[in-house]
Amino acid sequence: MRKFWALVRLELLEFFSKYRMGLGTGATKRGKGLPVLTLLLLAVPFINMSFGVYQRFLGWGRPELGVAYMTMIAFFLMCFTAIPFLFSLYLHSSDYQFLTPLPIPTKYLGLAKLVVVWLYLTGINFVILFPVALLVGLNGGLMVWSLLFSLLLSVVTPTPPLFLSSLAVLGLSTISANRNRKNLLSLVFAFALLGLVLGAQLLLTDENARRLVDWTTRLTRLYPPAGWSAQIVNGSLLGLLKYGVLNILCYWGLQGTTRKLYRSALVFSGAKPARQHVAFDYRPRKKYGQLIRRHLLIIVKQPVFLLNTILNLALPGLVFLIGLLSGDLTVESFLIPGEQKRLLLFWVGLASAPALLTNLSATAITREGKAFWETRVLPVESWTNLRARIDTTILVNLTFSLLVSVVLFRCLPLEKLALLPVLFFVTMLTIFVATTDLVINIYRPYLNWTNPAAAIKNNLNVLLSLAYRPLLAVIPFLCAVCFPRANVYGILFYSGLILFLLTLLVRRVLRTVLVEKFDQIPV
Amino acid sequence: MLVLEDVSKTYDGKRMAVDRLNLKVQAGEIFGFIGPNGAGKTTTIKMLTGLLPPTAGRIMINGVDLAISPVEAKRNFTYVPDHPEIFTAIRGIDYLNFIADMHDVPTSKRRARIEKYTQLFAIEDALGELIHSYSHGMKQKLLICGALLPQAPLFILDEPLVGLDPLAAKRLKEIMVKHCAAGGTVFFSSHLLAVVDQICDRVAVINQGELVICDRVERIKNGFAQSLEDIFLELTQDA
Ligand SMILES: Nc1ncnc2c1ncn2[C@@H]1O[C@H](COP(=O)(O)OP(=O)(O)OP(=O)(O)O)[C@@H](O)[C@H]1O
Ligand SMILES: [Mg+2]
Repeated sequence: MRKFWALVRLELLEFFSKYRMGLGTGATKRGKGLPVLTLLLLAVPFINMSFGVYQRFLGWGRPELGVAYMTMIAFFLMCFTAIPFLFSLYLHSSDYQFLTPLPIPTKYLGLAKLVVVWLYLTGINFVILFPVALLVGLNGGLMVWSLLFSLLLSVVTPTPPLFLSSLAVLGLSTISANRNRKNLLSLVFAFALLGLVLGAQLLLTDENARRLVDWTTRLTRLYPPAGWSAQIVNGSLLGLLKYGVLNILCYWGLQGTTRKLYRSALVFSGAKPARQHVAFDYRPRKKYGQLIRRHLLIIVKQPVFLLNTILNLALPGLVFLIGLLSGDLTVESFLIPGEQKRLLLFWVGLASAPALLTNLSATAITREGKAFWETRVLPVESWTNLRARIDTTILVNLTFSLLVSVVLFRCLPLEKLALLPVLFFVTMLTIFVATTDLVINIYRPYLNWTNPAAAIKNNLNVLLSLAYRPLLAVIPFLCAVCFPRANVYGILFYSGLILFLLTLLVRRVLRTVLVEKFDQIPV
Repeated sequence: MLVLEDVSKTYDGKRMAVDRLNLKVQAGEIFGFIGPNGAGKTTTIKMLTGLLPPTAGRIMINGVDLAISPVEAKRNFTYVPDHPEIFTAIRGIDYLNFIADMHDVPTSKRRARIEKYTQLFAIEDALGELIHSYSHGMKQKLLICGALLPQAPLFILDEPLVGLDPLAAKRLKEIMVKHCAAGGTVFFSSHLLAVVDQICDRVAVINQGELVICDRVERIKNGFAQSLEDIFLELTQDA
């Protein structure tokens, strides 16, 4: 048994070090505090949701159904978390290589990993199920006992979804244990999670009261443990007993599934996918197009880069959307007469957000990492090499900005006249930022990373690029001062023009002085 | 084909990693570049390929100054580094097509060459797979295929035989010999004295950044009346 706990400790340590690496912090004191802080911050909206559920269901006179509802939500949440987690922990773990030869029972290897997932799920439970359970218990008059029952409830509920997830992973693994699929899987489940949380929030309105109570009752019949949860918070020992039996059964099942997963992991780590003969495409492509494609693929094919980019691009839109959906924000609030200007500024703000919040160019060289030498030995002008990086950033950001602009233009009651100056301004801003950020990367290339998160997060390049962004506000301000008679469109137009001239200047410096600096970057 | 004039490099401003190196490699030659670990071979090759700017000196490739017209100079050579660190999230075939595009390999020759070289190095079955599923040796072979594809006049390799299986090593040596017979030039660094002895026309020995000797293999051997190994040890030890 001592060996088993040593294994668990090892798995936990690895989990936390991976998590820290994901955040890009070191093992310093501050680096150790940060993960805890982010976890706490992440927990706040969930705890909030739990409270919300309690209040709603209390208002409808069925507080105990709130527990059942939350058990169901937690069930799906845990499955969506556990499946990609189990997948990477069991099928894509590098530690088998040194663990397998050790004199430890194979059963332990599989189960030690399981403990990490179980702890993680229980942690989730503590922020979403525990609060509502505690409140319902207190409301039911259990007083101090409700604390004990809610604690027990949080501990017994994760095992069934864990078992079902392990079955799902086993099924998925027979289809494919491909690395690419793993990343796709994480992405799909991350979106499913987001959808679930958003959906659960949005459904929770008083208009939906009848339907929600109905659904929950029906789902409880489909998944009886949700009903047992409601019994437990009312102090039912029978409910606890049922859960206990279910836990033991699931534990048995898990022993089987983890053993199977462990075995297939060993097979996969040695085996290669079947070779297939595909007809290749030998058609030539344009050189410049190939360079852009390369830089785009570097972003798209590296999940860390891709997620970071998508999140940065979509964040303001998402915040807006959530605001609209939750009713805190309404289109009507923009329609107050005389508020056209506010509407316009809002539009410009959202359309400029991709340029202002992302900094793809600030890591355009860094992202290439150890493969940076490749383009340097090819017969390509250094300036072309740099330009391809800038244009890749522009391509990504502008596509998104235009999309946002057009969608908003269709949705909001805006003047047709506005389209031109706004698009002009946003385009110029995007080009300026994409060009200027690269200067930072030329001065601070960092190519020897092994963990992709270190290349794009928490590094000085990113901070520097964000630091000068607020200064850009000076431009429209100056325009407003210099052209007091100009209206908003005029100011946007003049600002765009100034940005254009500034871009020309930066490009000139890049072409003449900084190309040489680029050529000196040691590899 | 390749001329180095007083080429020097220092990383820290104090110690010279390469010290006033002078070399002339003729077209049609296989030129071996040998020296103990840390002698400055990789540093020299990085300077030749434009990866590292020399601290001083001039590098001419096919009559073109690398510092003045780098693109023109780079059209004249391809390079295989001592590590196969490339962008690995694409398929092998995508990598080769990329290189072919960048070096303007004509469409009509592209397919035949890719098939020929990948079959020669037995990686044709893996071309449809992502490069990060390749073994170290397979990546190296892919890089070699990429470097052969443009059929540039000069072929620069840094320790190309380390990590290759015997058959692939034999094939590569054959290709090097053939390339030179057809008028091409090969410049490669190595630790494998037997290989250098076997295929090189001329060798240069470098030690602690300085050129120790540069001559035809048989002339060096005649002058010392020993095996190349003994000569190498003798030349590089007394420093
Ligand atoms: N990036 C670097 N920064 C500082 N010094 C370096 C760097 N690269 C190489 N050196 C130094 O330059 C000298 C020459 O190194 P180089 O890599 O050229 O040797 P080499 O002949 O290729 O050796 P090996 O046979 O081990 O490949 C060594 O003393 C090394 O310490
Ligand atoms: Mg070397």
